[in-house]
This record gives sequence, C-alpha cells and structure tokens, in this order.
Amino acid sequence: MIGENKAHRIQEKVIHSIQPPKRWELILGIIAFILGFFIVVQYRTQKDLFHLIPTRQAEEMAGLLKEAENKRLDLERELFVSRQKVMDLQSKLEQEKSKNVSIGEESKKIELLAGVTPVKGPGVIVTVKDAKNGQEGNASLVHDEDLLRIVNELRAGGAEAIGINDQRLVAISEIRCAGPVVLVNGVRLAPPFVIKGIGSSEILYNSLTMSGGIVDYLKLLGIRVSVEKSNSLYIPAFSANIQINYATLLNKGE
Amino acid sequence: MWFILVCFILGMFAAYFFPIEMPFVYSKYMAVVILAFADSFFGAFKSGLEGKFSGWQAITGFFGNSIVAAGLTYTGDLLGIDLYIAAVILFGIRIFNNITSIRHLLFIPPSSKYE
Repeated sequence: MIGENKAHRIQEKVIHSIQPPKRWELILGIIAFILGFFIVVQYRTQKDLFHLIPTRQAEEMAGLLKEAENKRLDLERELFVSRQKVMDLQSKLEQEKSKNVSIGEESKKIELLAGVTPVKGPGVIVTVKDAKNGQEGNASLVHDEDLLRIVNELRAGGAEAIGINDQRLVAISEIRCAGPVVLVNGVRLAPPFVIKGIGSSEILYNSLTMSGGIVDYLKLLGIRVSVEKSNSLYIPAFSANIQINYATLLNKGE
Repeated sequence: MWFILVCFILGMFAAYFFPIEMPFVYSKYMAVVILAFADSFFGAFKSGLEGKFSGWQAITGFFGNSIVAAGLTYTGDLLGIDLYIAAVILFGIRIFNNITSIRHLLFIPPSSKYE
C-alpha cells in the first residue's frame, strides 16, 4: 500500500514537472536562449584568444626565456673559447707551414684555384661588345652563352685564373642570362664585357683566334670582339661569401 | 523549468552551428554583457519562483543591465581604468545571492516539508 502510494506520488511529480511553461517561464526561456548563444560565441572567441596569448603561461614562458638567455650566454662563452682554440690552431698551422714548405705551396695552389686571393700574371684580355647600332636582332647581342664559350676556350687553353669585369670565376661561379644583363657571381654585368685570363698569353691568344674558333664565330654574328695579349694582368679575388651547406669533406681514399 | 533549460541548450546549439566570430577587441565587452545577462536571468528566475515575476521588469533589466555594463567597460577603456571589474564583481555577487535564493526556493529542506 505504502509503495503504491509512493509510486503514485512520483508519477504526479513527473506530470507536474512536464506541464506546459507558464508566461514567466516563456520570457525566461527567451533570455536563456540568448544567454546560451552568447556564452558559446564568447567561448569560441576566448578559445582562439588563449591560443594567441596564453596569459596563464606568461610566467612559465618568462622562465623559459630566461633559460634560453642563459643558454645563449653559455654558448657565447663556448664560442669565445672555441674561437681561441681556432686561433691557436691557426698559429700552429702557420708554424707547421713554415716548417713544411711543400704544404704551404699546396695551400697556395689551392688558394689560387679557389680564387680567394687576387692574382696577377701574363695572359689575354678579351673585350666583347654588342654589335653596332643598325644591326638589330637577338644574335647581335652578347649572350651568356657567348661568354661561356669564351671562358671555356680560355680554360681549354690552360688559363689559371679568369675574371669577367673584375668578377673572379671560381668553381661555383655562374654565368647566366638575366634579362638585359648577365649574372656572374650573383652580380649583374652589362656590356662591354672584359674577360681576363691568366695563363700562357700565346696559347690563349691562339686558341681564341684560331680560324673557325670562337672569335671568328662571334665576328660572324657582328659582335665586336678584340683579343689582346698582356704581360701583366690583375684579377681580383672572389669577393662573395662562400656558404657550404651540403657538401662535406671526405679524406682521400674514403 | 524544463522549458528554460531546453531554451538554454537550444541557444548554445544555435551558436554552435552559427559561424559567428567576435573580434578580439570586443571580447571584454562580451564577457561583461554575458555577466549582465546571467544576472538578470537569475534575478528573473528567482522572482518567478517567488511568484513576483514581472515581464516588463525582466526585459528592461535584461537590456538595461547589459547596456550599463558595456557602457561602464567603455568608459573604463576611455579613462584607462579597468572599470568593468566593478560590473564583474557586482554581477558576480548578485548572481551568487540569486542562486542561493533559488536553491532555497527549489530545494526545500525535508524538515520543513512536513510543517
């Protein structure tokens, strides 16, 4: 009996709780709707904001910053020590060099080939200009390919150092067309191009001017080329910064 | 009662499916307005439970509170004071008070039931 009574009461309660909303509940419902809507919109905004500026982690980040700063200082100190080590080693190397002349000569050869020092010596000067006005046409202009062919010929003739308009050509130098100019070592060069090659002036001159050779060919196109022998040429060093990121040295035989 | 809850959840769903993004600049205003809304909501809820509900009062309170709160925040921004904290504290206290009253009205302790 008592259980039945209880069940009845619960049933009544349920019916009571799902009766249609009163007027004040209707108005409150509208307010609740707007409230819920705004809360979610604000939550969305704030969530993005937290992504941008994690305010709560500001202290933590400050700590990290300090740590990084300390690390930087440590590294700087390390760098200083390492630099001194390098300097020591360099001075040692210098001593070794003076001890062993052949090593010094080797490094001189390497330096010369690498183009890190200015050089002088006998050789040829090739001056290349566009064709005279009136002879319009693409072929009458000096192209990167023409310069490449001259340089190639000089190298075939045994040139030890080559420079185009005072840009030293080294192993990583490029000669390429860039609109109206030619890029060499990343520097824009415009005609007239003055190509200097240090080597045997006789051999270089002959290899350039042999009949059917590069000079003949260019003259055929109307390009003005002149080749001069010289006893004393000066070619400056390769001035750009060399960055080697990918290649690593291997010992001989590896 | 259930109707109010359903409305609240519906509102949240509506916002969830509406791609509305507030500019960050107004985030502070929005927060204060939401607090004002919550304050009026709980105030109206309490008076409804007490049977003293006035629709006119609820709606004017709803909009009046939010406008005043936003205005206070704006004034604070103009003057360089975080004046909105006043609104936050006031609304916070009032919401607490109202919720306490609502709790007392909704959950009558069993001892008093049989009086």
